[in-house]
Amino acid sequence: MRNKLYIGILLVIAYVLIETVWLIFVPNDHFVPVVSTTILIVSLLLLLGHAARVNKLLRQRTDELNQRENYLRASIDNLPFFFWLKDADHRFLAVNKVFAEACGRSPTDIVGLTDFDVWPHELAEGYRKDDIEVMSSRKEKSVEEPVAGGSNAGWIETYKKPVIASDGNILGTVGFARDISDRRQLLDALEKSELRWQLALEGSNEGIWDWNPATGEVYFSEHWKNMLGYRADEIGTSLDEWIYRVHPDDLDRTMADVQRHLRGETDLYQNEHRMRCKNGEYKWILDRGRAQFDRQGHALRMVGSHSDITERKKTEALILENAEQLSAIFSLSPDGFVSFDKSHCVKYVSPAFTHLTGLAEIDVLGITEGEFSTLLAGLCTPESRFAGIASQRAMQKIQACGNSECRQRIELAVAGKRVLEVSLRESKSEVVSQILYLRDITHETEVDHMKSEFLATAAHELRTPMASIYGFAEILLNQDFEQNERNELLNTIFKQSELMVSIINELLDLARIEARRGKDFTLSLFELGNLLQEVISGFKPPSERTSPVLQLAAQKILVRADRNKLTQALNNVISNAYKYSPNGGEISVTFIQPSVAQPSEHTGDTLPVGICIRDQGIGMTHEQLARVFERFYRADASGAIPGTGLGMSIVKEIIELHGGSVALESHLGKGTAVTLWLPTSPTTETSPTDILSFTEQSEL
Amino acid sequence: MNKILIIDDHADIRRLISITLGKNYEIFEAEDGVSGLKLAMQQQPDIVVLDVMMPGVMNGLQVLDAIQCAPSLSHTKVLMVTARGQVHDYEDGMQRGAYAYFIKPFSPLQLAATIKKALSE
Repeated sequence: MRNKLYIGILLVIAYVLIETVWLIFVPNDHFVPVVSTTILIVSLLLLLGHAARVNKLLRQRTDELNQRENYLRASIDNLPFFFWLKDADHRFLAVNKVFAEACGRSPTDIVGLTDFDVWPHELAEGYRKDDIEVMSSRKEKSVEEPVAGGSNAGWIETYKKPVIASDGNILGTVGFARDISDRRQLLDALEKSELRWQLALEGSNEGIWDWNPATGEVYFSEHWKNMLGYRADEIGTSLDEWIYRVHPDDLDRTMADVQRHLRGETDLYQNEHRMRCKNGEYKWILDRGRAQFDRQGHALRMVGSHSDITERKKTEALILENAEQLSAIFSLSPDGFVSFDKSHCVKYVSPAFTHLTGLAEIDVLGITEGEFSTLLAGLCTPESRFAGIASQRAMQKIQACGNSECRQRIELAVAGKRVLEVSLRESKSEVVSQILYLRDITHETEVDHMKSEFLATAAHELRTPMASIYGFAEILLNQDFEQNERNELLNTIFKQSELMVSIINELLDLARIEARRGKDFTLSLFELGNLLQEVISGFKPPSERTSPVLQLAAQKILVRADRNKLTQALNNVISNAYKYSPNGGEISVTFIQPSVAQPSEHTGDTLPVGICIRDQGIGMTHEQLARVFERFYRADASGAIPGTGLGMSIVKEIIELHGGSVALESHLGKGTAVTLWLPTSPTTETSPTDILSFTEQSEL
Repeated sequence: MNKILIIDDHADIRRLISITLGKNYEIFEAEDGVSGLKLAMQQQPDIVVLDVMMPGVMNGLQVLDAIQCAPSLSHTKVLMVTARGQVHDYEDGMQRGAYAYFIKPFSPLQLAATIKKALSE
């Protein structure tokens, strides 16, 4: 436009000059001035027209441009993010409404300003730096950063790009930024969710599977594969990967469960089966899942998890084993246990309890402590009645003896007396409040009883000779007697003293035998028949009884034994023979030499010999026979037959310590035969090794 | 003369008691419960000196009971002379009607004195 104006002005000036000059120099010619004026007017008109046309075009163009700018501005303003354009000097050329609003100004105000005019200093510095970087690197930059105010206020994604002219000059930068808080939040949430899911899976030790029934493909999580010992790449996505590994014995059952779920019969699919691991071993797996169905009831998808329940299965087996073991222990224990639950009702009784009392578990299960006490008391003898659990507890508390010292002794009125020791143990357990413990002390009681019986008997046995000694001494001191009679009385005192000595010795013997176990035997080689003759001639049978009748063996029998001890044993047996045949009868002593070796601890090559002492007395019952050797056991407990009850046990000790054995045969009312088996020595004699071996034996 | 029956399975004890009592009494002896009781029924003694622990079918306590029951022996006083020295044995004997209870070893002189006292009552 301007050019045209200049041209126009020049033309006018040129006309004026030409006219002026012509008029001055050629005043009469009017032709040229008219022509030139016409030319001038035409050119000016043309010029004007052109100018008007150009103007119109310009206006049109401007209108178009304005419109375009408006569209552009409208677009930019309505973009949901910041937009700006800066020149190479970092001055805003244009900003959109969003940007302007954020600064609190109008877009036109911002044009020409810099970041420093609009933003806080720190932020502006950062932006400036970015701009410089972008312009110098000629590359765009994208940044995600928290908004001024911290990441909780929001996140912004900023994108800056240099504006490069076609000639390569940097014209400035263009940039936009948008709020990505939502996106960030979503990402955050997703990350958290993902992490939570992962942790949960890891923590629960579950493997995940996701099956598409239509395609038959399954997604197996890495953990699913790891659980079976495989790496992620070692198992594919086929359903067969799973089917192939299920234990053949479990497969049918498992498939049936799956089908039931797919048919809609179960709400949840659940199955325990074994899976084969990479190493060939099987693992117990708990498989659970649920399918997603379409309207027609077809399964679109099924997702589930695998749990390794190997440990649980092992624990279950262990618990079962423990329970069985406890059960076995309780069944074998001879003691009765009764356990009570939290409310002090009977929960369990051991088999031994039933055996001892006759009360079966069903009889007492669930009854209260009081009812139980009454029941048990009802079974007792009046003298030793069970006082009840409550009183037991009170007694224990009073005596402050904790759990063990205070026990009630009760006696059950059952056939064949039974003495039980009852104690109560309280428990802190939730499941068991207390346990009543019944110990069968019948045997111990009997032994104790026998021991005190023994002491009483021993004392008693001493009283009788003592009575003679004391009595005769007293009357000798207080009365006069003839010489003969006096001597007789003194003799009695003497003999009775001797008897007392032997009783005392027997007691001491017993103590020693118990303590030393025969280590002090003095062994010598002698002929057995010879010893027996000695013993029998030395034995004084009770008045009016005949001496034992000895029948010697055909040949000599040599034994290596302790002469004194053997004598003692023989005397004991013979004495018993008389004691237990109070109605008389012959006592016979014979030798038995078997052709077959006795089934006992006989060693050596020679056959043993038996010395049989037989009486025709009262004999023994089965029970008495069984208990003959028991310490303190007396077949006749009334005391009518004297004795300490030790005689036979001493005999047994002595004979067994010689390497022999004692055999008994008895018929009630007919008599008893006691056979003492002894190892013999060969008639050709003595090597030192023999002595040694025998000593060793006797030390057993 | 008063009759005294001694029932004890130990000959020495019978001898002791017999010597102590001397010739002032008519003395009978038995070795066990059965023969002792038989003798008692026969002789109806005033005093029976009785041991408890004796062999045979009857022990001393059973003899005591029998004597207590027998109407012909209602005048008979029984003195127990026994090795059974527990308190309950003594009480048992006294409860069953024994006149006195001597525990072995006993003083024969005291026994004689007690017999004399029993006879005078």
